[in-house]
Amino acid sequence: MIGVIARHEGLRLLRSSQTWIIAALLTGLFGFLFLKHLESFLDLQTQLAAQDHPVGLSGFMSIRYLEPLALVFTVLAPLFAMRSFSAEYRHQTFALWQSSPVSTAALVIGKFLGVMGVLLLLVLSAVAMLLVMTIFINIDINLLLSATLGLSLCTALSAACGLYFSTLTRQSLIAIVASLALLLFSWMLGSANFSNLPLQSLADLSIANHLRGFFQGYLLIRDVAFFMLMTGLFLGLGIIKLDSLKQTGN
Amino acid sequence: MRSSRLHTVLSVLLVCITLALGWLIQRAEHGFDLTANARNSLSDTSKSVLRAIKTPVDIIAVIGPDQQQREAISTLISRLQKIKPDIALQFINPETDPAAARELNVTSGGELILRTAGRERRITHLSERSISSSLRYLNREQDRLIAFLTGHDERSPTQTSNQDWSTAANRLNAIGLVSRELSLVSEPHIDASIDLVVIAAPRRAYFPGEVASLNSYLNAGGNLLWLSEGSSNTDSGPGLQLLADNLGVDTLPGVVIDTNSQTLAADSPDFVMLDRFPSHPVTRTLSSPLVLPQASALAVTPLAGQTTLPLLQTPQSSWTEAGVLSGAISFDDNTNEVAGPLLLGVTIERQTLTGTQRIAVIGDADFGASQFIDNGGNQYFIEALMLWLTGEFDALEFATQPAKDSTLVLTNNAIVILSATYLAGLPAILLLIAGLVRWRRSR
Repeated sequence: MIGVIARHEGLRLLRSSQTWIIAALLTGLFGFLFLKHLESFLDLQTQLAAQDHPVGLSGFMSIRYLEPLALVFTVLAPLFAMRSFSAEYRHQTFALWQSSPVSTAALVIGKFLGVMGVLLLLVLSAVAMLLVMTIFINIDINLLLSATLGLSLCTALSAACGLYFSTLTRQSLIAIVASLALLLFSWMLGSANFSNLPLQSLADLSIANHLRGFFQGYLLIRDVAFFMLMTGLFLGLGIIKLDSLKQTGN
Repeated sequence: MRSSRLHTVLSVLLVCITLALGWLIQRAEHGFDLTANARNSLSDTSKSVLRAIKTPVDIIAVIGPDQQQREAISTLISRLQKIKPDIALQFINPETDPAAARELNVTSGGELILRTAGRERRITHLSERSISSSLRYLNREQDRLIAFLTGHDERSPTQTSNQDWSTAANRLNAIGLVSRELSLVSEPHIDASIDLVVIAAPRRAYFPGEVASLNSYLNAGGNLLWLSEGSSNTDSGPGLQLLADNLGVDTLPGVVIDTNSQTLAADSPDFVMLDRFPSHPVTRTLSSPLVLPQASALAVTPLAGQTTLPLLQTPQSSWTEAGVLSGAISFDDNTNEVAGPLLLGVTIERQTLTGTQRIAVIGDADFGASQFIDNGGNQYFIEALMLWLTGEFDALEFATQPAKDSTLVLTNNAIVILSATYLAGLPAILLLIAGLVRWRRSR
């Protein structure tokens, strides 16, 4: 059942020309950023090779090119996810789902997976630009996998957040603004300097702090756990919310 | 409405459980270094330094509340702690606790203080390399003693004029190599506690007794650095021919002129700049060129019982110039001028009963003078040379794994194809698909 819903959601996105236009713009952006940082690598490569624990092309591009893209995807994912439910509310198609034997959990997870499928394609297109360089040089595949995992987990969290907020309101605009506000707030917590120790644990809630390790090739259990827990939290909250709507009537 | 309250409770419960689980997991420090050249792990040098220290180490980090800096320090120290658990890290914030910072006498800008077994070392620049070499220094039982001979107008480690080596001596002090002056007239017998004797370009003759002292020091296996400017076999020289014969190294008359140096830096024709070095542990990690003002060349006779290695060498475009330095100068074949490649520095190693004796002869003393020490890689070279001569060459080894993807060569064609594909080709294809999808929908 989840698979059917996921496929339905994914195809809905793929059949919209908006998705492809956004993809075209993003690919252009990724390409531009990639080439810009590639050029600076070519200028800096001798200096970089002379340092301790030298960073090669993979490491350099992972930090300079892929890490900032995480912010792009964090903003993008709720945009894709918001149409899932808000649109359904507006077009009154939600009633169809309510009367069907589909469980709320399957509905939410299915939609999430569908949206993630399309988003992962975009993530892969960004990473592929770096992967193609393996024609010219020995790319550090493990590092690339780590960076891809980081991007994917971050995108998943943002998509789940967007999905949850879209279950809360019919107006997709409010859903977007609210989810973006929360995500960007979490991002900014990462660069805050708290001199008070109790407030410092707020930094543990920051997305940016938990992303750093992935792009440096240092896979920390707690970073992976953070993203999986928070994604699970938003999906869970979304399921609870939808369930309550189902029971109290729309 | 009971179900809506149930749902609110469920939501709150879910949030609490997630936060609790999250808080628990944040304590876990376990991670995997996935980089191909182990960038997120300690180098083998650091690991061996840590294993060699038998006493507990205390590290006090006196820095402001900048979270990124603190995290960088914590991460690095936690990697050290995995190898050596009895390292204790403590943070002191000079802004919230100025009394403690003042008590420790900390300079502004933050410091890392490392202590073990009653010795202390401070670092202002945080890096694995600086921590590793500081720990290595701390583990050494005592400082190394360097004695500069005095009494013949040599370069002094204590006087602060431009030609003296006081700046060099201060910087060597910071890495545990302590310098002092030594007069062979008042101390004819060189004490066994001295690790290195330096003859820094004397301009007046040595007494025969002093030369005899030096010779017996050498024969007993003492380490020596001889900075020799001007020929050693002239009558007006310092009279160290006995020493020269002992080592098999003579200094040639004349100033070394290198036309290759003049293309690198046109300051003065009699300055030599070397950016390529023969294979030698001292210059292995030297990455900047050396500047040697008014150097002399050496003539080496290989002797049995010692290993002589070239340390500094000029290319073929050089020669020793005996004439006046004005107007057009060139190599004059029929004089005592010698054509390049010329040796400007050699090292000699001899195996003795007590270990290895290390000697270096260099045809210049100005490269370490306060006036020129900050040129190019001069300071790095002096530190490396002194460390090698005093038997601390382990300290020269800080090697990290190179990255396999460090050098990228892209042909122009490749760049054009990549740019075209990424900036135009791919977006165009995607826009086409967008159009296709819209067309199919409208049908």
